[in-house]
Amino acid sequence: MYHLDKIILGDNQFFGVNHLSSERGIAREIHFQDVSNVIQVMEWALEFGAGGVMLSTHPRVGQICEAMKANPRLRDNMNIYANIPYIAKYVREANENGIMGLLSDISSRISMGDKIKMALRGGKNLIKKDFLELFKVLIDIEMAYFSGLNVKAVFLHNVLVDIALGLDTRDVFEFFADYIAKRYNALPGFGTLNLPMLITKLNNCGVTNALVMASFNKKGLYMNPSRESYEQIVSKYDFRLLANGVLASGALKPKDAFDYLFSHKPDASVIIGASSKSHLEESIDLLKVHYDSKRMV
Amino acid sequence: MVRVGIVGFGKMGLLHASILNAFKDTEVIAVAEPLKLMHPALERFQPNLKLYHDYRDMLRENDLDLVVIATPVSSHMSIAKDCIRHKCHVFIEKPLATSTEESREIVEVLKANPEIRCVAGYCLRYRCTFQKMKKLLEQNTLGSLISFEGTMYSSDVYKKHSGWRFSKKESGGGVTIELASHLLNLLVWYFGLPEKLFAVTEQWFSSQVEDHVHAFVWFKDGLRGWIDSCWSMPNYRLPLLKIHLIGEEGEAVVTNDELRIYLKKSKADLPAGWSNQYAVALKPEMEFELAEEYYTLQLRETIDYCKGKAAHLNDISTGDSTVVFVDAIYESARGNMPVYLESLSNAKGR
Repeated sequence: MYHLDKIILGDNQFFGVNHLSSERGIAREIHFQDVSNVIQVMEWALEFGAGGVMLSTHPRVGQICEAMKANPRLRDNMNIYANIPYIAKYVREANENGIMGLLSDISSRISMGDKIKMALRGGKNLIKKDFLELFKVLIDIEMAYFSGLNVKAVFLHNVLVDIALGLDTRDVFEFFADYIAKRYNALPGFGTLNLPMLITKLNNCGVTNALVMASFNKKGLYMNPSRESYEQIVSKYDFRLLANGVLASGALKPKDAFDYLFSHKPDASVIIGASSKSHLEESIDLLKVHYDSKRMV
Repeated sequence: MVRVGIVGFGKMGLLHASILNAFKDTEVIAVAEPLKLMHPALERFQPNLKLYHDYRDMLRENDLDLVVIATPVSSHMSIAKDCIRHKCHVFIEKPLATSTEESREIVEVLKANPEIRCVAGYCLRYRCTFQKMKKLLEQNTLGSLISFEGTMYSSDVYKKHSGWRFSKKESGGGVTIELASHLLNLLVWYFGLPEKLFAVTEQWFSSQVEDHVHAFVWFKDGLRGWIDSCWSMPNYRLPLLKIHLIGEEGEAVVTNDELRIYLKKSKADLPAGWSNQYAVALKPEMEFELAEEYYTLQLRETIDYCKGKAAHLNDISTGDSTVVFVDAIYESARGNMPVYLESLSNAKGR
């Protein structure tokens, strides 16, 4: 049931995210403002051999999901890997109206029916229990965009994961994993910039064989506390890695980048960006050679 | 182990608490947050933290080494003074204070408690591109400086808002103190306080604070230029700070993401013509990373400073200079006339 695609198209270029330069990001965003250009890249990715697409719940994702639903080939064959929530949206809201304003705005988005359900579930200890109920409602609000598409996995955004890690919170990861599996019949996943710390924590709290999205590249970019610690953790623990940042924002050639990743984690899945059709095809072809040799596709 | 208390558990309090608690030599043990709404979530997810509504109770009941103040700006001064009197080191989230008078009160209390360290959270000094620019300026890479343009833009405000940042009494002002103070803090780092400035501010959406600021700024040795900042720009996914510098031997453009340099002749390790360095290539590995690397780096330096490290990039005098710069802009805009900073600084007891 929980098969994970090996090659997944990333969405940064669609939303103007560029780790090298925000000015470059804007140039890509102009191109992808036209949703047919987004759909075109997804079709190429599917044709070349990608099985899914990562989608953040950016304000424009609704439009993209609608276009996917209108395209039977993508709707039926392109799996969705959701990354929630879109943090920038909430940070902006907290800046504008304060944390109080943010919370009251979220609660205003909850329907009266849900509020009654929350009150009923809460019982005597209403406020305390409500927080997990509120968390569920937040997840549902974010996930509503994808209804009608094949959601394969749902990732908790790295900022929230790393906050929970830093604060050493209890129950957050278990709760998220349990809710995503039960409510969405999808793989729960966790994004992080601190992979060794996360894997240790997940194992301590009993979330084993987790799906984790993290950077993995020879440059050590977004690999904290060190590249060596990442290499050690993948050899020591059993978990599913969805590698991003594999090309280190374009600093590495695809062949070298993939060789490095697979020498440490042969069964890793990979998120690939799409700066052009030919780059996309080149990357996917290289990945297929590796996975075919391991009989993984 | 450095024992930390957090005052104000909003967006920045949460961020600093997470990073500090992840450090191996630091432990967050208490949080003071007057807003009751935040308490059940903290109790539910991190029951080991001691929670307080009033920070004074937190100070009294715990033996804290460092307090992080991440409350609305108008409360920074009185909370900081209480912490310093309790012999706690203090990290104050930016902006440091709503006015020079307030920041000078903190300086005065510190004079009476010389063993206490106090820093301000102008985090962009820890961005690798801006640090690299600082090094190049120290090496006089661009030759004598002629002019500059500095901008800081974001896409946050398109209507009237109700949060504390939009109440002049609580925030001290609008885009100048909130957003542009990052830019002013960097300019102070690069060139010291200006000699003179002339500023114009405008309110577009907010009723109490300015949404746009533009100022002509004169530094010593003939360097002059302008700054422009606005939080109502149409298309900035993230806030972007940009400084364009022109010198007799070349020019440079530095942003959060990259540093582009043009040199007439090759110098040190830089070629003649254009060269380009990206933040992703300059970024160091870190013990723990959350959101942006500069948050971790500034807190690491803060902890080391509390433990005895000699200097901090944003010590109290630097934070205070940034407040003086902000004040001068407001004074100029209010009076519609140029302001001379040396006289302003002296008049306020510098």
